[in-house]
Amino acid sequence: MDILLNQHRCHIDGQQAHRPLLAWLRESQGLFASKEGCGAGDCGACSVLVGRLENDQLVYQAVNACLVPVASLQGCHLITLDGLSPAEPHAVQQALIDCHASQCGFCTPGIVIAMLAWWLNTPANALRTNAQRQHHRQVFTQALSGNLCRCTGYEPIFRAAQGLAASTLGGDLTGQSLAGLSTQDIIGFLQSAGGTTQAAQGPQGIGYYQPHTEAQLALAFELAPHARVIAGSTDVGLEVTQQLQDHQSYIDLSRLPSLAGIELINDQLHVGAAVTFSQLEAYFSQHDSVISPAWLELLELIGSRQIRNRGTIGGNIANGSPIADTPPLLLALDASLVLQQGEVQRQLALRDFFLSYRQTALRPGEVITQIRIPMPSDKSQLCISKISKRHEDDISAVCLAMLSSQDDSGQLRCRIGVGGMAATPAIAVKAAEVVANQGDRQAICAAIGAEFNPLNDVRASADYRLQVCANTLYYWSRAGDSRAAGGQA
Amino acid sequence: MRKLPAAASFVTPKSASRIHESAALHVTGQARYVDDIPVPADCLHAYVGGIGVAAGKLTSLDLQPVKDYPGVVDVISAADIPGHKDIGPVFPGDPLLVEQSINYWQQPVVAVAANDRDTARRAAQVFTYEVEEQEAILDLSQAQQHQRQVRPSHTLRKGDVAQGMAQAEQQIKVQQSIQGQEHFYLEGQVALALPQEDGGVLLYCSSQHPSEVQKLVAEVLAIPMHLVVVDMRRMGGGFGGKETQAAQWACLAALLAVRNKRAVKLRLSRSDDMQLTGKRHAFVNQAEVGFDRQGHIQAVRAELHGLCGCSPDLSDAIVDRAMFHTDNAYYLPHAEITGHRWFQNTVSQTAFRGFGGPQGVMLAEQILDDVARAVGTDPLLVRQRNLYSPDRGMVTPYHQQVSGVELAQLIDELSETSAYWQRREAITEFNHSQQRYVRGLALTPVKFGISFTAQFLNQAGALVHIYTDGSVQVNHGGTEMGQGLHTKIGQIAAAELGLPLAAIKVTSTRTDKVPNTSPTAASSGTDLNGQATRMACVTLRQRLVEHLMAEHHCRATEVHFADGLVTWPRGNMAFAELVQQAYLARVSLSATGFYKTPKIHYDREQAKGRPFYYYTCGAAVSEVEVDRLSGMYQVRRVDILHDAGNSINPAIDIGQIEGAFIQGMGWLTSEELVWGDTGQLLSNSGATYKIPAIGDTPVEFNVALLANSRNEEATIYHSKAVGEPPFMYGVSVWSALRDAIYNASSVQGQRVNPPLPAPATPEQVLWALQTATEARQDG
Repeated sequence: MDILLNQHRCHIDGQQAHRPLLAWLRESQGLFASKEGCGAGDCGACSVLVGRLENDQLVYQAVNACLVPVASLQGCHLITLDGLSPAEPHAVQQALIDCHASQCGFCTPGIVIAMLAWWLNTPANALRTNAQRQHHRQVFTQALSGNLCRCTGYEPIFRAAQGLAASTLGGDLTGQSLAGLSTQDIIGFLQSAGGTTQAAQGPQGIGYYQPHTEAQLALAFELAPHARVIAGSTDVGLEVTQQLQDHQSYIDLSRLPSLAGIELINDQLHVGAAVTFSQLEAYFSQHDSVISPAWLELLELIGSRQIRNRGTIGGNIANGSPIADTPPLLLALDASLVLQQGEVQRQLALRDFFLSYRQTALRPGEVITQIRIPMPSDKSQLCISKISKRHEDDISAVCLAMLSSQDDSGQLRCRIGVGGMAATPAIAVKAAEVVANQGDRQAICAAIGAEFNPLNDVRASADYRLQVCANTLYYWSRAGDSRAAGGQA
Repeated sequence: MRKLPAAASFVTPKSASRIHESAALHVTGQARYVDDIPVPADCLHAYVGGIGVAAGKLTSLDLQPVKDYPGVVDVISAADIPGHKDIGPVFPGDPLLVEQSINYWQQPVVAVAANDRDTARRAAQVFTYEVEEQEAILDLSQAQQHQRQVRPSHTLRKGDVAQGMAQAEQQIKVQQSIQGQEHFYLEGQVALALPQEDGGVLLYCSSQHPSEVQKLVAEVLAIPMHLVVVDMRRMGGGFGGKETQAAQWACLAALLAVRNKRAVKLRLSRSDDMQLTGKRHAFVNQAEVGFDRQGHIQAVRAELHGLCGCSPDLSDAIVDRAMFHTDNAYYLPHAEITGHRWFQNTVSQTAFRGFGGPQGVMLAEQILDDVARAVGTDPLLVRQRNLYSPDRGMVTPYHQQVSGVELAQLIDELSETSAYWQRREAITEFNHSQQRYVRGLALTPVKFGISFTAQFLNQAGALVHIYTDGSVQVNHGGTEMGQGLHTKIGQIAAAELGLPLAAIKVTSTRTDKVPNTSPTAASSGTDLNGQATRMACVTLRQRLVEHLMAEHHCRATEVHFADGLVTWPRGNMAFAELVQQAYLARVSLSATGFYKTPKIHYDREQAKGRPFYYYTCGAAVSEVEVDRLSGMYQVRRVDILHDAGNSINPAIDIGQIEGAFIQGMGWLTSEELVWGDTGQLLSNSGATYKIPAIGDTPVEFNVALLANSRNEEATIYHSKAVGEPPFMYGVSVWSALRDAIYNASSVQGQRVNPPLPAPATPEQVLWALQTATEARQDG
């Protein structure tokens, strides 16, 4: 397995393949610019830039180096801050210097990388009108949502971004040079290295399998039946850095064409399980539909930009977490899953997938290949709400989604998906009945309380979870009724 | 006033916004932190292990399983410490490793050295032990019930509170609960120890107090301090968390390094850093307040309960500083302020930006809000009425005469520039116009006392070398943690010697260059070390001038140093040329400088004196919008006007203000420390403990320095300390949230003003909203 590390082609052997990228960079490559602030994808100090070919276009994204195994980046161009700009400061670096945007400097390498990804991918913006300035701020906030800074309060970083707003590239890398290489050279490497090697095997069963075909996937399961299955490794990475688990074998699903792509077929949206949150965001911002606004609202609150660049919708489901962000919305939409085990394929409604805490209907050797989302009618309404202590880069205390519509008789029909309310993501059946029948806040509260017994934990109390659910559902049920929000019914 | 040597003409404030000395290194990733230093090939990695018990007695310990763990080279327990086993900074109570008594969850019992860090981390968990578990004291009521204090209570008294209270037209009781705060410096605790040929050790560590690390390492190893050198180039953030609590990891690394004659690095993981190091103190504050119908405060009787954790650490001084700031900016005719220091079976809480001051200010600001609502007047007016003023009074509860505090004018200016009154009207209109969101607005001032309250700490040293090429190296006792201290020190040396900034190199802080230094804390870094550096530069300049006088027959007052050139009436020469001539004439080109803060004194027995050389002041206005469905909120706009005196570097000072505000806001909003019933910290990672992210910043954020200001005291260039005071501007966000909650009540025709525990998480805001709006309609 090879990667292009800054200016040099670099071979990854079987013993190195599974190591967290950050440890490998700092301990084996002597590249110290990427810092370990948290080792858990929360702070962004370890961010690196990963370049790939997407539809023959060279695309760079910021990624948390602490979470990903080295080999997951095979065939990619990896830019660390050490190698970014050998001769003189890049415009992004200069802007940060000029705006006094570093204090202790420890988060700064990650800030530069995240800003660089923004600078490369965001169309230039004039900032003449209030609307332009507001849009600029939103886009930039999204780009930096995974970078914690404890010193500056972020204001000088905003100032640096304002100065750069007019010169961002919008994805056009023609004639650019990155890490001292021309884009042609980089593309040449990526074309030659991409998809050539699927496995890096070390001694004693250590191995990293990155199948490109179904057959290779089946073989990988045969060779390494106990391997940890990953796609973006945004959660499995934590098992390594936080729980000190020693995963030496991985099966990486991120390069399987059958798990890629988004397509609308017969009023059903087929989403590949390895589609990242960032790819979903791009799709919904380009395809307006009745479900797009709710999806965009949710996606912008999932983790951070770095997490969304790696995390996949399939992983979010397969992981089986009760506080996963997408299941409430998918449950409200009555989505189903396509599951594949060798040559055997089956379809399962998402509502039947979650069995108990972190237990799913997934069988050994079986993977989710696709998520199928029925498109609701244009007259229906889809609402989403994610409640957390912090807006960006946080895990929900409660996540709620509701799909509602009126049938021909004028009766309200609704389906409600909830996260953080039980041991699994769930459908709120009783509450949906009360909401459909225009019950008041207390009735909704009673229905939610009868149906769920949420946790008291570090994120919120059970009472808060119940109350927020009731308040939100009541508000949604009276959308347009100005008396709905304030006070108690 | 103390007479200072003639100052070099200093560049105007605007042109002095020099960039941070490490900015170019920061943005290219070349700035080196302790974990980036290349280590010898045989370097060992150390880690600590503890027991999941908050209170207990260790009755047996077996290290054999650790020794047998593949890759382990050495393991130690308390029995292996050759010298002092307690590293308490002021009072005992902080064992390097547990001897018998376990006082908090996972308190380190063993330290392991292994060939790699992962092995050390895993092996540190495999020792076997027996523990007699004891009842843990985890909250205030348990500590009160057992009367467990880490230090005695202390009271400030002024006037006659009983009489003042009795004569007041109205009285209220105020109660508040404030949680602690995790430092969340981005660079965690780390130390690298290199054993030396003479039994000594060279340490690289991330510490605000290298001299204390040096002393403690020497005591632990039972060797003289002259065998220990601490080198500290920069920290990836400190905020107080590396004032005393960087020492333990440095001592353990040093001990293992000397035992094994190999380099040892110890770096805590984020979750262990959060679990094992102290935080800002949680406080429970209570007060009785007497006031008249206009809201003029007559008397305050306050009790401050600081939750200190399992040892004194710096808690005596921290609770004192909370008491010193219970007046904040307001004159209290009669006051009695008592501070308690309660024990808890948690990690020992420690210094954090503001050092207790913020917890005192919080009580003051809740008092002002509650008094204003009790008399039905806008809180801003009541705040203005109660400010220290020659009419009302200028003496603090600790009997210091307030001087140099221009808050009345500053608040007038800020309420004007922030359009406080127009926005107050607009907010009322908005709150009546719809039901989902409710907005609030608050202006809160800050008056923060500058000086270490431990008088002896108010001293500093510097060592300045001029080399024969005319380049200058400056060493001083302060440490760089991002605050721009070295940049300001460089500017001072450049100004004094008339050199471009590029001619000055401020080096890493080293205990063998400048000895016996104070911690870089209490906002004092530039005040103390800047003056010491200046003294050293003045000495060197005088020597050069004397040489010039002898050679060129000019008078001392006729010689000027500017732009790398030395000029006198009949000639000039390059600074470097003069230096070379002086060297050949055998003039010493190295000098020390020393400074101690004048005028301060404090008699703690009497609780009277002048603990503070001067005050740094300012005020902030914050506007928030709360979603009544969830209690989630957004800070819409913040305006700050801050008095930095004659700022040495306005850009750096504004950076301190912006950053401190956001940090203070985080403390009171999203940053929630959650402790389990067993004394375990549950919010022990970035996933569960939420410092402000970029999206939490105010949509509009205006920060300005008070124009044409000058410290009336003879501080370095008449500037004012800036590190901590702006932290307390965050209080305006909390106060604005309370205002929003009160507004939600008054929209319904009620006037309910519920308490709002800090941090005001969305959950706390929702509960307070419910209390405010559920009360009876005729309330």
